[in-house]
Amino acid sequence: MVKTFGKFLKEKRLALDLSLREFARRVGLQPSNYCNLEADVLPPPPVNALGRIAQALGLRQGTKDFEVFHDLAAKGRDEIPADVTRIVRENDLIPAMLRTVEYENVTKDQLRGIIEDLKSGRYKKAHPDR
Amino acid sequence: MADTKKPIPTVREFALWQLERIAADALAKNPKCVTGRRVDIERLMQEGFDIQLVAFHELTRCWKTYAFIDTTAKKVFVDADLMDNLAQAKKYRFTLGEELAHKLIHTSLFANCRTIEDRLAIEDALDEMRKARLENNARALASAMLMPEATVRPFVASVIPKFTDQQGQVCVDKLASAISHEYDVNYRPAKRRLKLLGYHRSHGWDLA
Repeated sequence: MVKTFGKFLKEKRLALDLSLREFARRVGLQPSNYCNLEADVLPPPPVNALGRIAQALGLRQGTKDFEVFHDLAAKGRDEIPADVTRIVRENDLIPAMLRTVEYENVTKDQLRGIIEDLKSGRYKKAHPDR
Repeated sequence: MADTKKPIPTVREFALWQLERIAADALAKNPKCVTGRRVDIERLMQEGFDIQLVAFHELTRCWKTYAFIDTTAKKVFVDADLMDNLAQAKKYRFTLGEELAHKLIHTSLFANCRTIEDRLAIEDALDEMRKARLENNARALASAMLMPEATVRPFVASVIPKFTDQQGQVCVDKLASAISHEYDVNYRPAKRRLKLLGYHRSHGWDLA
């Protein structure tokens, strides 16, 4: 289980057979700065750099790796994940849904069930309001 | 009065064949780190030995060293300028090779080495002979990892005709340059590798 943003980065970069310097060049960072991101010496970078890194790593929106990447980056910066911030901003019903989860004391297991239900595909056609 | 002088740490002496074997074992266990003749030493450290690289700003300027290893935390601190300077890629690679060598053969000497001060204190405690041995061991093992005997010998044999003049003299400088290019190391380590492999004796080359 990858626990930190840096370890996740290193694992994904090595899977692409890219050296630290080559990857740093691709994402427009100094090798030393990128190295220290992987070492968790520096906190994860801001959103625009995160986007470049995600793209260079080939992480596609909607995939598990994309979510882990943003979750670990947010955890490293002690912030809400960048993609979640965007989703909340773009959909004014999300805060209401989150409050409902809170007020109704929905458990983690129930939430997992809701997520699975949402992923089942039966809501796919029903998003004309977004 | 009790003698308060600290004993000088021991630095084990390795025969060249022992270092060649350590290098060959390390590479054999990590075949993904070798592409053609080039050894990806950075990958070997990170993937093969789970060593974390950390960029250290002003390391060379402040401490007169390009890198040092924290064996307890399995981290190698590398001078940030060396890492960032793409023109020094070959030096960067050799520096990593030397630190990996320390990890492989000087583990007990650097067992409690956590900071650059610890590392320098250990080196300062060594007499000249031991200090030289420490450096020579690391340099020789780094060379053996970056320029494995198993591929260097066939490479040299294959290019000798190309660098032999009409009088039958081998142009060692061109040969070392070819090794430098092929193995992505600097000229001097390439030439030193030829000497370590005994070409000055077997072929009578001037490798001084």
